[in-house]
Amino acid sequence: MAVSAAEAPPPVIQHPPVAADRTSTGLNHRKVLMWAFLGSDCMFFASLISNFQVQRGRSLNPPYPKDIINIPFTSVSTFALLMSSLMMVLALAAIQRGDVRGMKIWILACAFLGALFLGGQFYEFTGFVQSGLKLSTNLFGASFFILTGFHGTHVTIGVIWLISVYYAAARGRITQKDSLSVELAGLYWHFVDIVWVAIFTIVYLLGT
Amino acid sequence: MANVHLATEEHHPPASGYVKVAFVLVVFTAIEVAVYYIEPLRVLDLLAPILLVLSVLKFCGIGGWYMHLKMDHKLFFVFFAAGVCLAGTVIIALMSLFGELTESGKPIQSISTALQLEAVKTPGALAYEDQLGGSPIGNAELGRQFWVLRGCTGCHIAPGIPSGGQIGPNQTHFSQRPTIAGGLLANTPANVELWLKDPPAVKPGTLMPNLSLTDEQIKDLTAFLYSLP
Amino acid sequence: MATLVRPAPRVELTAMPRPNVETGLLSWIMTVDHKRIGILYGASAFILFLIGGIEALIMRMQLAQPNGKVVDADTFNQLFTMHGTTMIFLVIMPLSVAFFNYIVPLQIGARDVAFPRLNALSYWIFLAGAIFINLGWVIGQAPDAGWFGYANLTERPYAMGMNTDFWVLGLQILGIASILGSMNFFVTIINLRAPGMRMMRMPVFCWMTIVTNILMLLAFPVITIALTFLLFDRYFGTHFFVPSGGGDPQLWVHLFWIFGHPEVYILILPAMGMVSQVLPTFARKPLFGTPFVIYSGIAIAFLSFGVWAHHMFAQGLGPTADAAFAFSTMAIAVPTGVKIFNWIGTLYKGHLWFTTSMLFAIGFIAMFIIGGLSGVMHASPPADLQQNNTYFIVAHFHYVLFGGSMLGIFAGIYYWYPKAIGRLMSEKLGKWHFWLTMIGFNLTFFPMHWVGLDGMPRRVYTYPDGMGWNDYNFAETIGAFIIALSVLIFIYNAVWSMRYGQIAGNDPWDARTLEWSIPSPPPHYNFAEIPIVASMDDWWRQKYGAGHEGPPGTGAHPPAMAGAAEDVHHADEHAGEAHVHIHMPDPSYFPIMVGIGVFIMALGMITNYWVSLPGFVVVMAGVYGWCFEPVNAPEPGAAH
Repeated sequence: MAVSAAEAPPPVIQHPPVAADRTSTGLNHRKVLMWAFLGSDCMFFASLISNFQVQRGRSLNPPYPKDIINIPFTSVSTFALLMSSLMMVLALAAIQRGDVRGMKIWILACAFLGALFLGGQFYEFTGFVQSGLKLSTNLFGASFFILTGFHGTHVTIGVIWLISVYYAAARGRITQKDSLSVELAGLYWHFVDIVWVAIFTIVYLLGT
Repeated sequence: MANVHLATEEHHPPASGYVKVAFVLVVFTAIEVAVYYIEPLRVLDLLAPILLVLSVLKFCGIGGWYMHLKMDHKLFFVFFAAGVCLAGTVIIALMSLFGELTESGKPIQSISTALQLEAVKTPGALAYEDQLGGSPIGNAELGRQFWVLRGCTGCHIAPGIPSGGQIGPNQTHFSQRPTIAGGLLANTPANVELWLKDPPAVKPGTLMPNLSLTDEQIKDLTAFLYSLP
Repeated sequence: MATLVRPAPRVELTAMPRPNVETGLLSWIMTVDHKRIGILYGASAFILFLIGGIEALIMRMQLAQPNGKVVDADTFNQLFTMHGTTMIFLVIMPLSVAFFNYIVPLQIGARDVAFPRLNALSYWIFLAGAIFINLGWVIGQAPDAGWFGYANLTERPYAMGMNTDFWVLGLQILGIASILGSMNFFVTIINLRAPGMRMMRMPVFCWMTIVTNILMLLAFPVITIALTFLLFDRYFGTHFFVPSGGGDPQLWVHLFWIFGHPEVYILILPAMGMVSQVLPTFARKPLFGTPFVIYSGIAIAFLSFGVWAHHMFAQGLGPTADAAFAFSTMAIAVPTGVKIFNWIGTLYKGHLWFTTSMLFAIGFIAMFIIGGLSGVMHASPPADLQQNNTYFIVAHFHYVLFGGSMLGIFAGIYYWYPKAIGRLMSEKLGKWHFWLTMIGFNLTFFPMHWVGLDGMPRRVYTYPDGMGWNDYNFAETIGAFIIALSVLIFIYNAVWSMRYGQIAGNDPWDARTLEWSIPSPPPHYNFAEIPIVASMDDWWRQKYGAGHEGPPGTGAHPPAMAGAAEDVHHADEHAGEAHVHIHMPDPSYFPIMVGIGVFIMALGMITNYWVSLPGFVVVMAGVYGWCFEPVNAPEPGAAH
């Protein structure tokens, strides 16, 4: 067994103890963690988008993108997601002012629009499947569904997170000084929106 | 969970600022969708640049204002920018390695495939084409391109083509063979086309699958096979 | 006297309080203490090192003679696949992480990492992955498609058994553990440095740690996606890599190596960091050109994302791509060379003290140079066409990974063992270990350069007689057994020293960095008071004052390794004890719970999908419990 140094008496304190909450950069741990995670998440989506780009035009059989993609419909979902980001940032602004009730309303609106987006995706996917495009049908099906599915999973996690924040706020656990919790959820949500900006352009607009 | 802003949070824009940003984002999206439907832009190859620029601007809008990168500590911008730049580099690198950055309109093929095609213009194939002047069977040159693109080298070796598998027969001296399909069929162009149409139907249990080839592709492949030295 | 204070938990949403165990098996299972987690990683990785070593020995027995009959081809495939996968993912990486865990907080003057529970979770998920990937052995279907699993060998119908499934799912689990851990260390190093410790005053080992973790953060997502594609191909009928469906096997190769190349730098940079700490200590001189060592590390990491296709020179990428990657590969040799010259510069005119740790560090430099030279030879595509897939490559990577990473890690073990255990390892046994390793290692791997250039392919389960390879292979097998002997000596040393080793005291090596300023082993809270840092190698400055970095021997010679526990170099200070409240995080049930849930989910993928469902429930319950369990004390910005 290791020699257990009887916890030796510490040296005399020659200066006031360092505050327990200080960080080297002055930035909160969880915020730094979230940004590190988002940087990493960029690489996930980069791999998926690379795959989509590389597999373009190589499907051996229909349906091909132009047969099946519905730009007007997807534009509406895109709009919903964009507006949800606005709701999110308004929720953050509210909690930073101390307006918990306002924050709850905006965050619920954000979650609602996110769910609307998901509903749109679901409807779109079932439509594709009925038109004959499944994961295993061709390369377009595989690449499309795995990319948008991965994104959709991110959105779903986000919606659950937002509702959890709402729930916590409803129980009085989130007040003005806890605005970081809302901010972290917001960072994640905006990232998911940014990725959709890329997907909408590359997969839908440029893909057909 | 109790926590406190440790960094001195920079000045937050008022709510109206966020709404303005949202408005701009919506306008950009509307422009993107509108541009999509404008045919002349597509023909002029301007669609991609316009869409990409608008997307980047939207990206920066959301990142800068909604995610507060503009107002926050520079470190966050560095972390995120590193991830985004690396992501972009990987996408572009893979696209170029797979030939996706070649001129639009050309059949998509990887650089290695293109180089292979250059390397395999055999004298025999060219002579055969010359002889038949675009043969009634099919176009051997297109057949050779298709042979490489479709991955026939996964199972077959053909002379003049750098790589090839050993699952199916080696196609050297193809035209001099008396039979094909493991001895089942006489070696005639018609039989070759029959075989290529649906191998398992001709010879149940064969390892060669039905590749769903079109008649055009079959004719070109046949011409290619007969052109092999 | 510092006391540990556990304030009463606030009333929380869950009724379950945090566990409060400090001893026994349960305390290890629920620990969130970085030192214990470091020991868990180290011990697990070492056991896996033995397993990987046995796999290697069996292969060497099979190859000792032509037409060997020790194992059949199928088993041999499993052996080389598992040997590679084990050594890379289950030995070198976790050994490095063990050191990150134990040493980094001590070197930056912190009490723990930024997210202790996340740290524990990373370990348990790692263990789940390690067990999962080795489960294949139990049913005789260990992964067998090589450690880089090229498609479409790994696709159905070529890989019909469960072998590849174990590999794919196991690696996915390990990837999650790595990404979680890397986020943690990233935040720790950015945010938990002691006051005054600017980045350029941070020890080089910590620099290499943060660089390695950034690489992990950015590279692992790529392999995760590649494995996901392969999983979908195998399970859900997609054709990402299957030509008959239009896919391209080369896509797998690209995606794998975009991850794979940064991965090999992830394997070597920590060892380089360790050696950068060991050499100055035993040369009694500061590291030569410290900023350049740091910048080179950063440059290597940056460039590592631009060289991946040098693993693909034989794939027909074409002259343009080949040339571009050859150029970038040769470029990356430059910062590596800078580091080597800096290490040599550290030794030059130093007052050298040849402890075992120092010997391993010098061995590292020598062996890594050899491995690096063969690496530069591979960088030329025409030369690589001959060398690729031969034993020449095997020689290269064993020189950099064993001669490099493992020797560096052994240097780190001998160096920091006294800090963790409180006793020194036996120098006599250590030197036996070192010399037997050097002899055995070189005997095993140097002849491989020749047989490789002579044409012996890698991954062959046997070779015919009359090729001129017999004697070399036989010698290599002897060498392998000498390595095994040296490892046994090491194990004996490590175990014996725990009980009978000379008591170390705080600072047996008269070293330079902060971890040597606290007792050995460190108390639970590491530092009674967080130090205020004024320079690089601050502990040296505290001992000898600023400006004593000059020629060796200035008032600082190796302390007599007297048995007496050396006191902290502050003056006798029992006067004026202050009452310090140190809040340390409590243990937690939830990391291991989530780890178990992940394991069950993976099991479900290969047995019956319904099994995954309870696994998922366990994971979600664990995550929710984690989010809502009582925190020790509301400490903004601090660990919880």
